[in-house]
Amino acid sequence: MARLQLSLTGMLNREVLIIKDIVYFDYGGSHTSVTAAAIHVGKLKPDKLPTGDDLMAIPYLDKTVPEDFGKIKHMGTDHIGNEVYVLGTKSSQLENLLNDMASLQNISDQCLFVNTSPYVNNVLRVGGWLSRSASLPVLGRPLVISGLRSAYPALCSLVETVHLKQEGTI
Amino acid sequence: MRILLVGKTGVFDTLAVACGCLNKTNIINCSYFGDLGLENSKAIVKIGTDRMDSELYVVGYKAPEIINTINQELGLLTNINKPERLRVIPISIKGENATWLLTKLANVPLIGSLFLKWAKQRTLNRSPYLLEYGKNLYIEKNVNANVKKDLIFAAKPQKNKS
Repeated sequence: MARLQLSLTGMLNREVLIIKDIVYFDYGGSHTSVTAAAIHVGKLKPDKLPTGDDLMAIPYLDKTVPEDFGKIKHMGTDHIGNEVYVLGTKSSQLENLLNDMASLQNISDQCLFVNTSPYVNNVLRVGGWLSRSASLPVLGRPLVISGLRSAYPALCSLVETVHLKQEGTI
Repeated sequence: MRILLVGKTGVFDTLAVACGCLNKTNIINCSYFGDLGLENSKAIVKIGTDRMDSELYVVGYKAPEIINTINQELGLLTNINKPERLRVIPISIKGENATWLLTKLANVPLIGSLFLKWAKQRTLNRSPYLLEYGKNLYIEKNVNANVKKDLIFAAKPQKNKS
């Protein structure tokens, strides 16, 4: 059931916001989804390209294990009170299935699923595979950082789009 | 109640199993059978309603157990009311890996249609087994649910420490 929050701005101006659970998902739930969620909750600044250390300080980034597939992990709360989560689905095209599952359970107005898989570039793909699947983080992590830095502007635009969707502008 | 059957191939083998659950013997009559667009989109497809008024859905996914995990996690996240909760049943069908491979090859340009035909034919050839599997699955799930309802758990007897 959607929770309602009343925001009173002045005596007469009253607006109703439906608080949503926002779930960023991709194949592994450890790179682009985590970075986008970190931007969304304000752990990373959209106007500043993060360093490797900034990225590695984010919880869950490049730290997931195969048992984490399908588990929804909490990343934080955004500026208007929405809860932000990340999810690894072991597939890059699961948007329809997730949305259908939500609508079958009448929670589609409460959950917003955001696919970050289109933002995975080849450097990130190779780095992610080396680090997570091949268990060689020493080799994979520099590539992951480089790939994430390349994808960063696009991920910031995605998060901005999600913010606009929440505000009802789109 | 809504039940989602998740197998490796949604509108091929899993659909046949769902037809077995609903006692539908003719798979070809189901308009979704072998629809590659639906299979690739990973959209949930409604197959019908059973005698207990439960709606039965199918979807194909390479790792069915993950869908069950996601559903459980969603339930925890959003506090869904029990009657509205989707029951996900991941199924493992003998021989479905070959059908899954054929559906993947069906996406190959030019020669894909041959593999699609082959995949459909393979499901049809295996339909007696798949329908039987569906019937048994339906009985097992319902019997289990009824038995669990009636079960009264006995307290574990204390061990004598003497």
